[in-house]
Amino acid sequence: MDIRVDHLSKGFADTAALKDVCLSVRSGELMALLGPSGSGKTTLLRVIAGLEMPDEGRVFFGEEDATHVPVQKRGVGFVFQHYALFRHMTVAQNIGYGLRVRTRSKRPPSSDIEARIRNLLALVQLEDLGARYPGQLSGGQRQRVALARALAVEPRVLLLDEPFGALDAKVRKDLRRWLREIHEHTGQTTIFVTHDQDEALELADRVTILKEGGVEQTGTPEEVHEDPATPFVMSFIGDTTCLPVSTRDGALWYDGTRLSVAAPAGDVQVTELYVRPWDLAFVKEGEPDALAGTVAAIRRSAGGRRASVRLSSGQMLEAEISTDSLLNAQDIVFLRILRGKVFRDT
Amino acid sequence: MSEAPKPHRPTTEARWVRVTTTLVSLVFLGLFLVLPLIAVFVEAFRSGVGAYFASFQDPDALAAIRLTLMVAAIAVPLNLVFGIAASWAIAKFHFKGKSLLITLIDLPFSVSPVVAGLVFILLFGAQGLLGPWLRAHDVEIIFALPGIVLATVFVTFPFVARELIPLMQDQGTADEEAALSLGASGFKAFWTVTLPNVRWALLYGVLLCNARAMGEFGAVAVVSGHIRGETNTMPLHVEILYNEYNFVAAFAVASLLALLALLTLAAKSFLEWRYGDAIAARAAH
Repeated sequence: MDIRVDHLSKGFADTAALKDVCLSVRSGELMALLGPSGSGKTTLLRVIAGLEMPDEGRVFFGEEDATHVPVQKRGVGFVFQHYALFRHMTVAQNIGYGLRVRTRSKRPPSSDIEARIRNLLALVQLEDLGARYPGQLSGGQRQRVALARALAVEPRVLLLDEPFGALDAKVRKDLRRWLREIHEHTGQTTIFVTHDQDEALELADRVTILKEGGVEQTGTPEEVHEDPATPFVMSFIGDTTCLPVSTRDGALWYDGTRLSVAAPAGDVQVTELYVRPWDLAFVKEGEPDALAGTVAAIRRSAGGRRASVRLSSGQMLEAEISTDSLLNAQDIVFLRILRGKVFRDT
Repeated sequence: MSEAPKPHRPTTEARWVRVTTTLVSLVFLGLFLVLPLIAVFVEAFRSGVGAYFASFQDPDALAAIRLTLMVAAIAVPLNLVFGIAASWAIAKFHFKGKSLLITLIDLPFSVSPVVAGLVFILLFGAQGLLGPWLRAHDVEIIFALPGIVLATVFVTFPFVARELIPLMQDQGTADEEAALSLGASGFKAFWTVTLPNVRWALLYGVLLCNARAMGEFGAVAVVSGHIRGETNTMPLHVEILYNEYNFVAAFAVASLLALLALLTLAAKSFLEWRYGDAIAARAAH
């Protein structure tokens, strides 16, 4: 089911939660809504679900204008951040709830409901836990029950609000991979909200980045990572250092050094250069485009090692270094900027 | 080598502090709660078991018991409905004047029951605001069952709401939203999700409400008119008997009230034991 959101606006009390948001999700796609807290991503998801009414704009499910269709009739499966499992029902009763509350004429026979519950329990790998209560499950198991419950009603679109937000790092990673597999298996159009850029990039077919209620960019993980549309996207997706630069003689200059990064064509003034930690190279002293600095600290992260370099101007710059590097704190180094991103001044 | 200090929890006080505080509470409890309760039963059985049960043969006593049960049977369901409606509104919706409503719900706790009774006299009494109109239409409120029910409802209405509001606020609206998104109607979501989520607290509130409805004296005393066999509830009947120096009968009826209180207490403890599990499950949720 294609989902289209057209010029959506929504305000709460005196703050605007969504400002003229347009979004289109293709059938079968896994779309991530990514942004910091307060960016309106959850509000957007809730408007699509019908849990919030927009002030302006429309929501389309395929060709159908669903803006005023109540949540019950919209055919969405919603997975809540804190699961919202019915604590007085067993896992199986939770999963069957959406089928059992249907009016008699639309309700499948009891044996079909039982069979569907069994299938879903198998899908979420909780075959033996159907008789348990939510209080007896771990966080990851609850999340899977919530997903099974949402899938039980065969929704037109699956909506997940920070699905892994309340889980610890290891479980998050496992569930992420597992959700991807489920998505490939069911082909269900899915929109999920997250504030974790790794999660969005790893899981989604396309990512929409929101900031203060507006869409900054929509694109594949590759596009938003390699070709960010705005400085906000640049610094939100992956680590970035921003250097103050100037344009002169068709080149970019930082602190009196002519950089080897190409300046934008035409007569454009640029004042900021965004640099990723892995777009830097350590070079020998005396190279004309090298920036001198002192290693302030070396940090280990799960993915590799980073050096924080204090340039002679006082500016800090993050640089990726190899795991067998012999670099130490207080060493004097020379850095060449291999690649950087500039944005037109607005 | 010096002796290792005993492991000692930082919140544990010295022995004499623990003993003293425990002793003070026990003595206090014994003096002001247990002793009077025993006295009630001792007095009731002073002239033997026969005299005790004979007290309940008196038609006036039977009428008082009947009236008390009837008042509770009307007032408690009314406050059950009111309590659920008010806590639902407060916990699940945003509206202006919400904090005012919460404050108003607490009003009966802070107003003397006698004042509550007088308010109803001022409204519905013969000299009251609506008195002449009521008389013209032959409606009896004061010195009759409706007045007693009104006074009881007023005094007992915070009990259910007060139990439910914090729990419902704590639970939020996510469960209801989940039910709605799965296709349940608003009524079905209320019936299958909201109500089961608060069932223990609800029962607990109803029990407390019932205990107070049966035991209320002040507000009812003002509006009842003390007509023997007609508008006397059990607490009022106890007072009358006592004033007539009919101690055995007075304490016999009082013992029945005390028994009701003890039963409520037992039921409440049972619920807390059950409900305690529910709270733990929620915390782990």
